[in-house]
Amino acid sequence: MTRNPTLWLLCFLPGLLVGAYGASAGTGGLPGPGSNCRDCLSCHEGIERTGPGHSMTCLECHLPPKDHVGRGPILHETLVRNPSDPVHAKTFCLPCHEGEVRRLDRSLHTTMAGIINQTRYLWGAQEQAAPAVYGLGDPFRPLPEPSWATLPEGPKDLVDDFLRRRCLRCHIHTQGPQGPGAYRATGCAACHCLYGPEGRYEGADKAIDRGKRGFPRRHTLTRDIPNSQCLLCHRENHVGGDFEGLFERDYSRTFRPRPQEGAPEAFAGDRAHHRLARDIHRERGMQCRDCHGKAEVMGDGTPHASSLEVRRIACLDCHGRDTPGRVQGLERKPSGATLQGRDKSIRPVPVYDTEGSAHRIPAHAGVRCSACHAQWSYQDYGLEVIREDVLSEERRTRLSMWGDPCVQEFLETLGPGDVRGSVLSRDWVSGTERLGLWSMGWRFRRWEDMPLGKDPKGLFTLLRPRHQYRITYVDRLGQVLLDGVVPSRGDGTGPGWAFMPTSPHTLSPVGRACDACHRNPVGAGRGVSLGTSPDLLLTLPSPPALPGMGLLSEGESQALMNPSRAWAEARFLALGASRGPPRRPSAVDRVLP
Amino acid sequence: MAAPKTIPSVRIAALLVVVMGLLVFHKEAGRERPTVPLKEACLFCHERTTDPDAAHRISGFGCASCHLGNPFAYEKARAHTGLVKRPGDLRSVEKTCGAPGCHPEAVTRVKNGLMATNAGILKVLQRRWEDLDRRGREKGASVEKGPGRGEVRPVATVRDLLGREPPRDLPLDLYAKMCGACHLWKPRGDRPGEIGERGGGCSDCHLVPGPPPRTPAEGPLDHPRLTTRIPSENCIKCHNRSARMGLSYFGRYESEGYGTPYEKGDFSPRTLSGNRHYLDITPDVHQRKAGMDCIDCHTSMDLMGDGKAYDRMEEQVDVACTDCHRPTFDPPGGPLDPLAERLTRANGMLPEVGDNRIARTRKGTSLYNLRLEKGGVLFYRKRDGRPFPLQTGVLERPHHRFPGHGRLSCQACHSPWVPQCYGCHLTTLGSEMQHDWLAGRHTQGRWKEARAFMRFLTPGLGVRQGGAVYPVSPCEVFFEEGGAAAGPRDPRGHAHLALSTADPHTTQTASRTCLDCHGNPKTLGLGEGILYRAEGAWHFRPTWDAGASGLGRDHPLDGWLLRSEGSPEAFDTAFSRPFDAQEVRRILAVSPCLGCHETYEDPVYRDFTLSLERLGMEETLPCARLVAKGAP
Repeated sequence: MTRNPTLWLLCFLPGLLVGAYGASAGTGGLPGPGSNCRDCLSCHEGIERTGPGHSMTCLECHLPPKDHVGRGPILHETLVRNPSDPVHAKTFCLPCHEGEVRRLDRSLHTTMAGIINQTRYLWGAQEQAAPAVYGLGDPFRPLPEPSWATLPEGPKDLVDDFLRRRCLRCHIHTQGPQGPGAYRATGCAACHCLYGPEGRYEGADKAIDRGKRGFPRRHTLTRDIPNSQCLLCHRENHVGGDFEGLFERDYSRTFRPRPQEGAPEAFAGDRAHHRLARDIHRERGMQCRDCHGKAEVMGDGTPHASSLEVRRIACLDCHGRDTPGRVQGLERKPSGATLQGRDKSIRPVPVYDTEGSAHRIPAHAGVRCSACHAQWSYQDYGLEVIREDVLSEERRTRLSMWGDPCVQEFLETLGPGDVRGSVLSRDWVSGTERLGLWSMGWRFRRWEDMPLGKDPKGLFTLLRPRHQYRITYVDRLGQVLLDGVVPSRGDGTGPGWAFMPTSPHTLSPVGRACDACHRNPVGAGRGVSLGTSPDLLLTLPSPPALPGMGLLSEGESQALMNPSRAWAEARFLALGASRGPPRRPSAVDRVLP
Repeated sequence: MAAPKTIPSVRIAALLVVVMGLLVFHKEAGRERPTVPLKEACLFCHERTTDPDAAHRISGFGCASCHLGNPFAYEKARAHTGLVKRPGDLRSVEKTCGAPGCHPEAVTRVKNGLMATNAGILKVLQRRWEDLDRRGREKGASVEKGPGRGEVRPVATVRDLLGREPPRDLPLDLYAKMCGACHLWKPRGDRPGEIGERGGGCSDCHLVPGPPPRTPAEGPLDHPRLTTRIPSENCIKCHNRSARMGLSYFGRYESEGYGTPYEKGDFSPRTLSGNRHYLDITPDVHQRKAGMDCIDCHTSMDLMGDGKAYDRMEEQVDVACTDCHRPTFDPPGGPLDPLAERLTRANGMLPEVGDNRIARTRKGTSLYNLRLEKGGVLFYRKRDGRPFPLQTGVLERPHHRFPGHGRLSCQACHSPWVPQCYGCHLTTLGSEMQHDWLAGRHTQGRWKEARAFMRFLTPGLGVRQGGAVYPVSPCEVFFEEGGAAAGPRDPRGHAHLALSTADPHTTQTASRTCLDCHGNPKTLGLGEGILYRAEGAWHFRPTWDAGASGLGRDHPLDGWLLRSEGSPEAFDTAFSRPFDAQEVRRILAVSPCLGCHETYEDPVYRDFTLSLERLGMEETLPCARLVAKGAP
C-alpha cells in the first residue's frame, strides 16, 4: 500500500492549532453556533486586562466595527482572535496607534525588503538589491507568485519560491513554524504578546484550555519585551542570537547530543545551539530594547532596502565622552556616565578612552568599534539550498535538520519506505501549500577568523558570508533540473556569492589582538592560506550585495599583511597594557598563572 | 565346537575387505584424472590460475603450501578438507606464510606488533576507565563491581579477547563494539564494504585490492595479487578514523556531516565509510609534490614491528623526518644489508643497490629506497621506482638550529592543520544490542557517539613525554551510562580528557608563523578567545562559554590550559601534557617583540634572556623609549 507513490501532506502545526482551537470551542464548553457572545466575561471569567491603556471592552478590539450594529446576538465566529494581525491592525490598533501602525507597515520587520531584494539580486532575478523593488507591503511591489507554467531555467525562476517557503517564515504576517520554543503571534502581538516555550496559556481565564498549545502566556500586551521574544526569530545564526552567545550546532544528529542535565537553556529543549561568550552588554544584564529603540525596530516611516540604512544607536552615543546625549536614561556627571536601562536598573557607562592603546592609532579612526571588539561572529561557509519535489529515502533519513519543527517532527516519525512520493510545504506569504520542500546544508560553519571589508560609510567592518549559494532542484519525476548551480548576480557582475558587513553582537570590553587583522591572511581578506582547494577558497571573500560596501582593496589588504614599523611599536605598547584593564573586569576573563 | 562359530566371521570380514577394495578401486578408477601426473592435484581443477606474485609462483609452490588442504585428492570435498581460504589469517599463519623456511620471523613480529595486538588502544581505554571510576568514587558514586564496570582486568592484546564470552567490563565492551573491527586478527570478508576488507592478517596489507576472484566455473581464476608495494588504499581503509592520518595525508578532512556540496540532487560523492563525507584541505607535501605512498616512509619495522611487544605507537614507529632530511648512510665499501637487497628485489621496481650507499633509521633499519649516489641523495618511490633528488642540509639552516626551539618537533611548525574533534559524547544503552566484533555476533549494550564541533585550523601544541613539543589533538569524552540523560553531576556520567600527540601527516614546506604560536591562545592550549595584557599580566577571555555549557567545567572545550583541579573531568597527562605556566610565560614573553624582531637571525634572539635584561637597563635601545611609555 505504501508502495504506490502517494502524495503526503506535511501537517503544519498552525493548521492543527486552528483546528484545535475550533475543536475546543465546540467541546470545551464554549458557545456553540447561534449563541450570543455579547457577554464575553460570562465565559472568559478571570481573563486578564490587556494592559495599561487598554481599558476598553473586549468587543472594541475583537469585534470588527461593521458588526457593531444594534444589540443583537454576536457569533463567536465573527470575533477576531488577534486584532493586531497585519490584516486587522489598521481596523483595531490604528485608531489609537496611528503613527506606530503606519510606520511599522513600512519597517523592515514588515516589508522584509532587505532579505527579499538582496536574495533576488544575488539569484539573478533583479538588477539591483537597492533601492528595494519588492517587499511585503507599501510601497513595494508584492513578491511575485512562483510561476508553474514553465520549468525553471535557473535560480532566478526559483528565488521567489525559496523566499516564500524558507526565509519568510520569519516575518510578522505569519506565526511561523510553531513548535516548542518558537510559539509567537503575528502583527503587533508578534513582539508585544509573550508566549511560553510550550505555547500554553498560564492566566486566569477559565475558558482557555491549559492543555492546548499555541496560546500566549496571558491575555496581555507589554512594552517590556524580553530578549527571548526577539530570539524567537533572531536565532539560528541570525544576528541577535549572538548577543546571548548562541551559535547553531551542525545539523547532523552526530553533532546534536542530548541535552545535559542541569544545562541552562535559552529556550526549553534547546539543543540546537552552542553556548559561546555573550556580549558584554548582555553579561551586564542589558536587553535588546536598551539599544534598539522604537524607531529602529518599528520603523521610521521610510521604506528601507537594508538595516544598514536605518538610523541606529551608535556605540559612542553612550560611550562617547561628549557626544550630545540623545539616549534615553543616559546621564553624564563629572563622576562618570550612567545609564538607566528599560528595566530601571542603573549601570555605570565606561567612557571611550581616546588614549587606549588601539584607540589612539590615527588609522583606527576609520574602523568600526565592532571590527575589534566583536569576539566572534557567524561565519557560515558554503550554503547549499535544495528544493526536492520528491524526497528519497536516503535523503530523508540522513538529513536531520529541515529548519521547521513541524516538518522535522513529521519526517522523524516516518518509517523506512514511508517516503515514496512527493512532498508539500507551506508558502509563508500566501499560506497555501505547494509541491516541494526546501532544505539547506553548509560546507563548514565557524565562529573564529573573521575577514575585514568596508561598510557604506567607508569604515572597516567585519564581514560574514551570506551567502555562498549553490542551488539544486529535483522535480517530482526525480529529474535534477538544477544541479548545484551557483547563481549569477542580476547585473551580471559575478557569482551571487556575497560577504556582508556585520555587527556581531558579541562585544567584548577588550579588543581582539592586533594579529587578528594585521599579518593575518583571513583578517586581511585573503582567506585561509593553506591551499586552493574549492573548500578552502570559500574563505576568500566575495563582494557584498549592496552598493557602497565593499571588500578591502589590494592596497588595504597589503597594508594589513605588511604593517609598518609604527604598527609594530603600537603592538609592543598594547601588549604592555599601558592603560590597564577594563574598569570592571568581566567575570569570564581569566588571568594566566 | 567353537571353530564353526569363528569361521563365518573371518570369512565375512575377508569378504568385506575384498568388496570394499573392489568398491574403492571401482570408484577411484571412475574418477577423472590427469593423464600426466600433476605436482598437486589442486591444479587439476584450478588449472588456469594466475600467480599471486613473482615470489610465490604456483609452478614452484603449488597451492597447498599456502592454502593447505589435501593436495593429493582430485575431488573438491576431499581436496578442500583443511583448506585455508585466506592463508594470511593469523589463526593459521604459522602453517602458511609463517611455515618454516618461509616467513616465520615476520609472523612473530606481526603478532607482537600493534596492528595485531591493539595494545595501545586497549591500554588507553582501560586506563581511562580506571580514571573515570576513581573520579566517580571521589564524587561519591557507589561504583558497582562486577561485569558492568569497576574491577578493570587489564587485558593486554586483542588475542586475549578473541573467543572470550561477553559480558566484559565497559571499556572492553566499548572496544569490542566500536574499535574491534580494525586489527589484523579480524576475519577478512566477513562484511560487505570497507569493513570486510579490513583484517585477514598478512593479507590485510599485502593483498592488492581488486574484484573478488572468479570461481573455476567462471573461467581462469585470477589469484588475488600479493605485493610488497603496498598501495596506500590498504592503509586508509583502517586509518581513516580517530587521528584520521590516512585522510589528512591526502588532504582530506572528515566534514561535519552535511554531505555537501550536493551533486546530482544527492549528497556529495566525496564519501567515507559510515555515511561520512570529507572536504579537501591540502595534501601533505610528500603526497602533493612526490606522490609518496605510506610505505615510502614507513618501513617494515614500523608496520610489522621489530618483534618486541610495544603498547605505544611512538615506540614501534621507526622512521622519523630526520632519517631522510638529515640522513645517515652506511659507510662506503661495507657489506650490503641482505634484507635491504631482498626487499629491493621483492619490490621489483627499484634499481639494484649496487655500489650506492643506503640510509638507515635511528633504530638501524635500512631505508633501501634512500640512497647516496654519485649525483647526490636520491629517494626512490617504491610504487614505481621513480627517483626524486632530495635536498639535504635544510636542517642545518639557522631557523632549524635556533636555540630556543630545541624541543620543537618538526610537526609543531610544519603541520598547519590537524583534524580536531571537540567534546565527544559517548553513551551506552544497556537495553539495546550491537555487533560485537570480537564475539562476531550481536550482544547486549549499544554505544552511541556524538560530538560538539570539529575544526581543522590552528592546532594546539603540547609536550610529549620526553619533552618534545608536538601538535596535540584533544580527546575529551563525556561518558554517559544508561538511557537517561545523565549529566556531569550524575555519578553515572564522567568526562575524561587526554591530549594525543602524533604526526598529523599534514606536513607543508612553509611553517606556521611566529605569531601563530607566540600570540595565538588556541595554539597555546587556551582555546579560541582574546588574549590580552592588563596590569602586567596576561588575561584570557574565552569564546566558548564553559559556565553556560552545563558541563560543570571551568575551561572551554577547545582549551585545557586553564583547567583547575576542581574541574570534573579526569585529565590524563601521562603521555602528553599541556604547556606548564613557566613554558607559557616564556612563549608569550617573545610575543610583544615579534612586531619588529621577526626573523630568526635577529640579534635579540641570540640570547633572549639577556636581551630582556638589556631592555630594562639600557635607555639607548630603540625599545627602551617605548618601555618608558609603559610597554613590558
